[in-house]
Amino acid sequence: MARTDHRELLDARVLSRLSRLTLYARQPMIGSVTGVHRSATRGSSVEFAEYRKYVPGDDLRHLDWRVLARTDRFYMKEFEADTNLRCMIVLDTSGSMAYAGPGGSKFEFSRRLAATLAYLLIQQGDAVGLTLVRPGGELEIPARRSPIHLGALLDTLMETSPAGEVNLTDALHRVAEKVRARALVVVVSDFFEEPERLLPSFQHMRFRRHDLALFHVLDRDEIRFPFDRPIRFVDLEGPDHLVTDPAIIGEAYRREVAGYLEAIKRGAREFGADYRVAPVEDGYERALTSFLLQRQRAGGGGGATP
Amino acid sequence: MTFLQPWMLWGLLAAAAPIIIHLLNRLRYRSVRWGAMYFLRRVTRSAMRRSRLRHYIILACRALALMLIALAMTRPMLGGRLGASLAGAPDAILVLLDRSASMERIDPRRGSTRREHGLALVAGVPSETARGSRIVLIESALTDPAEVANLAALPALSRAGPTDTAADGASLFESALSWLALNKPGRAEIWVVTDGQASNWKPGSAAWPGIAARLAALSPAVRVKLLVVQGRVGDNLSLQTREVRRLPVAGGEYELLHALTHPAPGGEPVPAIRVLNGERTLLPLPADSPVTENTLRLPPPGDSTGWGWIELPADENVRDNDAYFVYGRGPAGTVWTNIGESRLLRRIQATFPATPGQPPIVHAWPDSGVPSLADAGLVIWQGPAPTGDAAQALEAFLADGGSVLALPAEDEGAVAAATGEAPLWQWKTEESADADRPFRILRWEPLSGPFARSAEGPALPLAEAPVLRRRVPMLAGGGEMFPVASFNDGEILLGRADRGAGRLYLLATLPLPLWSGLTDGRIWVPALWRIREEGSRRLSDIRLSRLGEPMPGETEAVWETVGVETPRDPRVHAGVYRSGGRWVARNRPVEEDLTEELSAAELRALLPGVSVYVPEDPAGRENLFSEASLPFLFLAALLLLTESALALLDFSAAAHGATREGARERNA
Repeated sequence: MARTDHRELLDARVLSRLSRLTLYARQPMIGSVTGVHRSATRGSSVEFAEYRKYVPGDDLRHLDWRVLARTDRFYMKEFEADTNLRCMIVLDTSGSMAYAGPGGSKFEFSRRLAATLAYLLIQQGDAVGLTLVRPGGELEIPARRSPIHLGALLDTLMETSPAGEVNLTDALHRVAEKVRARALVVVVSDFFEEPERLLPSFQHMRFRRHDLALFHVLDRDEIRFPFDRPIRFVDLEGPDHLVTDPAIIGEAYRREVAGYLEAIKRGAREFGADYRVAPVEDGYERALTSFLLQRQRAGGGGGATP
Repeated sequence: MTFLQPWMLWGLLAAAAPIIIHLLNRLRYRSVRWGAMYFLRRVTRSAMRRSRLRHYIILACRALALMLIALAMTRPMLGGRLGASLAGAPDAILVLLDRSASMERIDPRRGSTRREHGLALVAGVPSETARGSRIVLIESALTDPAEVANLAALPALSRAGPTDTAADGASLFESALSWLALNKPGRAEIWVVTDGQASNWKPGSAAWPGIAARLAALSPAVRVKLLVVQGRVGDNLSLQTREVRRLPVAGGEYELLHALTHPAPGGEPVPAIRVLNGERTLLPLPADSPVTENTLRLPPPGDSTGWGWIELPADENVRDNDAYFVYGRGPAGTVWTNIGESRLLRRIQATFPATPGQPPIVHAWPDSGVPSLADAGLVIWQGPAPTGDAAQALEAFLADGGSVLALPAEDEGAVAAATGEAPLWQWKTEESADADRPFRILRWEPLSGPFARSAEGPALPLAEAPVLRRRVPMLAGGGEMFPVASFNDGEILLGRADRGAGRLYLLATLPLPLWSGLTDGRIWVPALWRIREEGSRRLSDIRLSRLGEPMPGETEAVWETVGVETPRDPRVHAGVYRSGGRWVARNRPVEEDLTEELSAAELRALLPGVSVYVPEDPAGRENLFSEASLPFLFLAALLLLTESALALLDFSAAAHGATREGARERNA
C-alpha cells in the first residue's frame, strides 16, 4: 500500500494548539503502562489516596512510620496509580455523513476530528483504536499506543469514504462488549437513529464502565433547514428521494430536529455520556478544544496534572 | 351577465397565473443530496392534510381574487341571480309597460313620471344586455305586441306615451304568452314596468294561477323582471265624472254628478275650471271629505249637444284632474219582459204608459224565439235566469249597454230549465217576515243609481218601505255584485253587476203588496225609469263612457277631438270626441284613482313557480341592471385578505404537511 499523506488529516497548527491540552479520562482507567490518567488500581504515584491496615507481606516502604510512632498501629499509606487509557474512536461512515454544506463535508470533519484526537492521545501515551461503522459491519482496529499504529489508523481513515446505511446502535452495542472495560469510547456520528433505539447503547457503554464521549456532527443546514422553494431531497444513504416544499414543512422539520436533539442530549446526560453537538461550520478544532477544556475543568478525574 | 368591456374577459386567464406559478415552482425544484432524511421522513409521515388543504385554499384564493379583479375590469352588468344570468342576452325581451293613468304620477325627487322613469331605466340598460335580442313592447292600453328596434327607442314611442286608461296586468301577461307561443323566440325575458297599482293587478283574480302555470311550463324557462316604479304618494287630487242625468223639471236641465278625491279635505274649495261648450269659468269645488260628490247644473242644450269638462289645478298627476262629460236628449228604449198577465205586469205597464198614437213601450217576451232588442233599453226578467237563446240574447244585450232587471218569481216552485248551462243569476230560498217585524232597507246609494235622491233633493223613501218577502239574488259562479241597496241584516235588496257596457240589476223582492213597500210609486217609478235610462244610453248618440269600454259605433270611424287643438286617441285618452252625429265623453276608469299599490313581493307572489327577479338596490332606486364591479372588487379584496391570513398565520404546531411526490427509484 502506498504511503498516504497524513497532512490531509492532520493540521500542524491545530495540533500545535491542541497539544498544550491533555485529554483526561473522566473516570479511573485500567491501562497497561503508566500514564496521565487515574488508574482503577492503587499505585506509586505521589498522590496520596488512603490508609489501610497492614497485612503481612505488604511493602514496608509504604508503612506510615509516623502513625506507628504515635499510635503503635500499623497502617499502610496508599497512593493513586497513574496509567494510560485505551481509547476506541467509533466513526460513523454512513452515507448521511457525506452531506456537505457550506462548511464542508460532515465526514471530512469527522475524519479530521478522529485523526487529530488519535494523534493527541498517542502523543500522551494512550492507546487508540478505531472502529469504522460501515454498511456491511464494523472495521475494528484494536487500540495500540505506538506511533506506527497511529500511521495505520490514519491510513485507514484516509481510505474510508461514507456510503450506505449503517446500524449505529448495534455497532455501539458490539463495541461496548468487545472493548475491554474502562475505556474511553469516542463516537463521532450524526446519530440519525431513533433516540429510543440509540440510547440503550449509551446505557450499555456505562454498564461496561466506559467513558463515553459523543460528537454529534451536524451541518447547520440540517438543523435550520434554510430552504424555501420546493426541493428534491436525494437520500445519501439510499436510492430514495423526496420532493417537498420546505415552505410548508420547514417549521415542522425544525421542531422535529429540536425535539430529537433534546432527546439525545437528555439521554446522554442520563447515561453519563460526554455529549456535544459539533456543527461542521464551527470546525473540528473548536469541537476538540471544547472537549479537551471541559475535561480539564472536570479535573481529569483525579489523574495526574499535565 | 353582460359586460361593458367584454374584451377584458381575456383577463380571466390571469386566474391561471398562480396555478401556473405553483406548477412551475414544483417542476423547477433543485436537487439536494440530503443526509437528514430521517427527519424529513418523520415530518412527511406526519404530513397533515390541513396543511395541504390550507395550501390549496391559498392557491384558490389567489386564483379567484385575480379572476374577480379581471371580471371587475370587464364592468359586468348583473340582472339577477348570478347563475341564471350568466347565459348572456336573451333571444327576446318582452317589455310589459303599464301605461295606466296612475303611472303619470310625478315623483318630486325625480321630476319625472313613473312611466317616464321606468322607460328611462329600461332604455338605459346597456345595449350589450340586449344584443341580438328581439325587443317587443306590450303596453297596457292596447296590449297588442309591437316589435321595436331597441330598448333605447322605447321612451320616444307614441305607444309608450301617457294614457288615461287602466291597466290589466293579467292581460299583459296573456298577450306576452300569446306572443311567445306564436313566435317561439327561444330564451325570453319579460320585463314588467309598473307601479303595482292593486286595481290593475287584481291579486285576487282567478287568472293568475293559470298564467303562472303557463309561464312556468315554458321551455326554455322565461325569466320575469319586475321593475316596480313607485314613489311617494303626496297631495294628489283627482276628479271623476259619475254621471249626467236629465232632471225631470221644466226646461230639460241636466245635472252632472262628479266626485272629487282630496287627500287633505276640509280646507279651501279647490279652484277648478269648468269648461262648458268651450267656455271656461272658475268653479270652486268644496272638498269636505276624502271623496266629495258634487253636482253641477248644466243648462239645457236645446237641440244641440252639450259638452265640457271640469279640470283641477295641476298637481302630482295631471292625468286624473279632468272629468269630461257630454249631455243631450237621447231616445228612450223600449221595455221587454217575460212577465205574463199579472198584477206585476200591469204595474210595469203603468210605470211606462204608452203615449196615445205611439207604439207601446212595454213588450212581452215571446214564448218561443228571441225578440229583437235593438231599440230596447230595459229587459225585466222574472223568475229563474233564462237559458239557451234567451240567455245569449240577454248577454249580448248587456254587453251592448242595455239594462236587465231580474225579479224573483212569485211562485217558489219556479225553477230554471235544466240545460246544463250556468245560469246568469240565481235566487236563494224565499224568506218571509212578520208584518210587525219586516225586513228593513238600511243602506242604499243616495247620489247615483236607481235609488239616488231626486233632483229636488229629498231621498227616496226606501227606509219607510217594509219588505215582507224576499229572495236574495246571487250571481252565477259566485261573482261579485255591487249592493245598490241592502237590508238591515246585510243581505242585498238590489244588486248590480256590470256586464260589458250594460248593467244587470237583481232585486230581492217584488213591487207587490204582499211582498214589499216598493209598490210606492215614489220608489218604484223613478228607479225603473233610471234603470231604463241607463240601458237606453246605448241608443243615444250622446254617451259617457270609460276608457277600456268599447267605443260606440264603428271602431274604424274617425273621431274628432272636441275642445282641444291637439288630437287625441279616443282609445287611450280621456276627452270629448265626436264622429258625425255621435258624441262621446271618455273618462278614465274609476279604479284608476285608487291608490292602493302592491309591493314587489306581492307582485312576485302572483307568479308562483316562475323565476321572478325584482331588481332594486339598497338606495331604493329601481334598476334593471347594475354594474357589479364594486362587489367583485370587494370580494377580491376579501379573498386576498383571507389568503394573507392563511399564509401568515401558523395554524397549529402539528398542522403542517408536505407534498410527497416522486416515485421510489430503485437503483436506476
